[in-house]
Amino acid sequence: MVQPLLLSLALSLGQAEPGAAEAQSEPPAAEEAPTSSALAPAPPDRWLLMRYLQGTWPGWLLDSNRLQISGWTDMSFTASTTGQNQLPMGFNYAANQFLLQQNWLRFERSVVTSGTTEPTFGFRSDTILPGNDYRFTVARGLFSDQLTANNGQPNLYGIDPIQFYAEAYFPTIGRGLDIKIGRIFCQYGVEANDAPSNALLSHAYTFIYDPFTHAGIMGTLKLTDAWSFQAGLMLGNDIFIDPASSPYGMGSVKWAPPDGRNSVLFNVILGSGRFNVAQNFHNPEIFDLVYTHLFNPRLHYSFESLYGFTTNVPGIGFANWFGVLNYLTYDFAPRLSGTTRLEFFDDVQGQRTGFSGLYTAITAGISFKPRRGIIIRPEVRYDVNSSALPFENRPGLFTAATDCILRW
Amino acid sequence: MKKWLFGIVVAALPSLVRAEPPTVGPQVTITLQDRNSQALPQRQGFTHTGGGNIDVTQPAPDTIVISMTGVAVAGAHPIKDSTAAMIFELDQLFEINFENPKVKRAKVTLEGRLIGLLRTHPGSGSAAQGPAHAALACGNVELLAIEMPSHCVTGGENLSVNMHQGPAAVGLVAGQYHLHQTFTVSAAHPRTLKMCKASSSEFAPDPALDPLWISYWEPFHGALKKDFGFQVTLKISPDIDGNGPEQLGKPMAAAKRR
Repeated sequence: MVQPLLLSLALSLGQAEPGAAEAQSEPPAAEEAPTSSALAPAPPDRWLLMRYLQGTWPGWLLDSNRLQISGWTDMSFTASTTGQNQLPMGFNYAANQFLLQQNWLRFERSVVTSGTTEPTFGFRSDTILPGNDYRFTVARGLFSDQLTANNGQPNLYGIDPIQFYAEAYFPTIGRGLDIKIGRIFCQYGVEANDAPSNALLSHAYTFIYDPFTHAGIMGTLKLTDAWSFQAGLMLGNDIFIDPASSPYGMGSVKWAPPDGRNSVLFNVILGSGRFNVAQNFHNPEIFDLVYTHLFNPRLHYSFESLYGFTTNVPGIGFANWFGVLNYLTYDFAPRLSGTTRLEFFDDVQGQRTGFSGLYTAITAGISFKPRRGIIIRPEVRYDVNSSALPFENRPGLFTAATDCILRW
Repeated sequence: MKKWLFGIVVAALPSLVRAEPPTVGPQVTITLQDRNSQALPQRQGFTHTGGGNIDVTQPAPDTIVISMTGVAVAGAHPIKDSTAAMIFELDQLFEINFENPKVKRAKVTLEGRLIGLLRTHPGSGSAAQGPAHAALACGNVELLAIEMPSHCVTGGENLSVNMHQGPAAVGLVAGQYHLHQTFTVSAAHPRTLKMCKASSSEFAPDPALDPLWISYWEPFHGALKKDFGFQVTLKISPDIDGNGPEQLGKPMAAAKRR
């Protein structure tokens, strides 16, 4: 008798309370549905001018047509071991003086690259208005007379409509086909013409002495999430409509997996490859490779290798040059990063810089953003040429520079 | 074997004898009937209106919730005066039923809340929220009402509005009643060549107000907007105490005075 009673007691205890069972079977509380604003794509960056116009009638006119006006002012000071200038180290070339490098005006209508299957059309106009960077980027045939306007010498400051193009985006061709017609930034390399895109204030020789812009038509086809291709037909390098222009082609292939740690970009610029003696114009052929690697979310590395050549150069014949660049960037904080750059640039015949030999340049700098629209980039840099005296009859150059970019 | 069977039966007894609680529904219920509601946007000049929702839900048989949500924005146009408004009006017929024959009288409570933002830019422009009114009536006789006062800001003033009224209650018998509810949001801005920001009256959750219509440096950045609007809750319960309308507080008295 005791055995069944014990059994029944055990079974009774084993039965779950109905309340508990109900509680267990209740579905978990539904998470709060995301608001529509959370689902919406991130809005494009809005800088000071567009923020100021937001909520006004002119601002509404711009926004309702996907138009944006923005820009920045980049001012620098470079302390140097040279007396006058640091050339052939370009851009912040003036020694021990203040420079307004870029006062940049951007007016654009962006294309829509997601959320639609319809083609969209836009444009962009970038103008240095004014700045001393024009001296390096201005294209022949487009305000290039500023380079001789000061008694045969360049004006200190000038303007340069450095980029202007019409753009069409076709989202259903491949993973998206983008076509640009106009004057377009060259698509190779790590460094860029627009100051905020660069980690360091000063530029590498590989950037300074190779093409900045093309005028022509260029298509970018995204085949997969990782692979994209570019092809373009141009009037030449750093030249607009001018007697010296000649057909040039550019092409690139890029491999950049969306969540990958590595990316590779190979770019070629091919044309006549001959120095145009009659027009005194340089037509280089360029081969460029860029590799990037993300060690971790804070530490990233970029490598660039460039080879260029030109034939028929007066007094030289065949001229070629090599560049090898290494960038290592560490993000100390969201608003503070540090970058080192080690460059080897071999101007074999001296056709690019005016002095032959291997340039070695090491640069260390930080990029600090005290506010979202303010970037301060102090740096120190040492350049040395192994076989010539390019820096006011010295082989080496030490500079300590800083700039401030105010985005508006 | 018999012992085992006996044991199993004894073990199962607690489950067998556990009585299911009787299903108890509300003793009084509301049946929604005809509805006539409208949200009327009015725009002139450089304006934006958004929302315009009149949402009537019955989360329980004895409860109805009515929400009116809308936005009106008027900006500074160089040659045109701008005015924008969203005007809401609702008439909802419903029937009160007594499911339990023992219930002879029901207590109806009316509760309202109004949450939103009014913004203007220094110099000119105004934004307002008109009277928010809800009244329970039988025929032409208003039995119970709540009314939120209007607010208006101008010349750079900004205001966050969060008001609550009620619950006001009244005792009723079964039958047909109707709820009348009105609400208005509006904004205005005179023409000007100055770069003035728009005035806005925002009483609707996102995304009714496109943020590009208001200042980037708006004073209520990050405000939680999911509860914005004019919401009225009408709830009915058995009037066990037998309180008549005379004992049920000021709102009724106010209604009677009207």
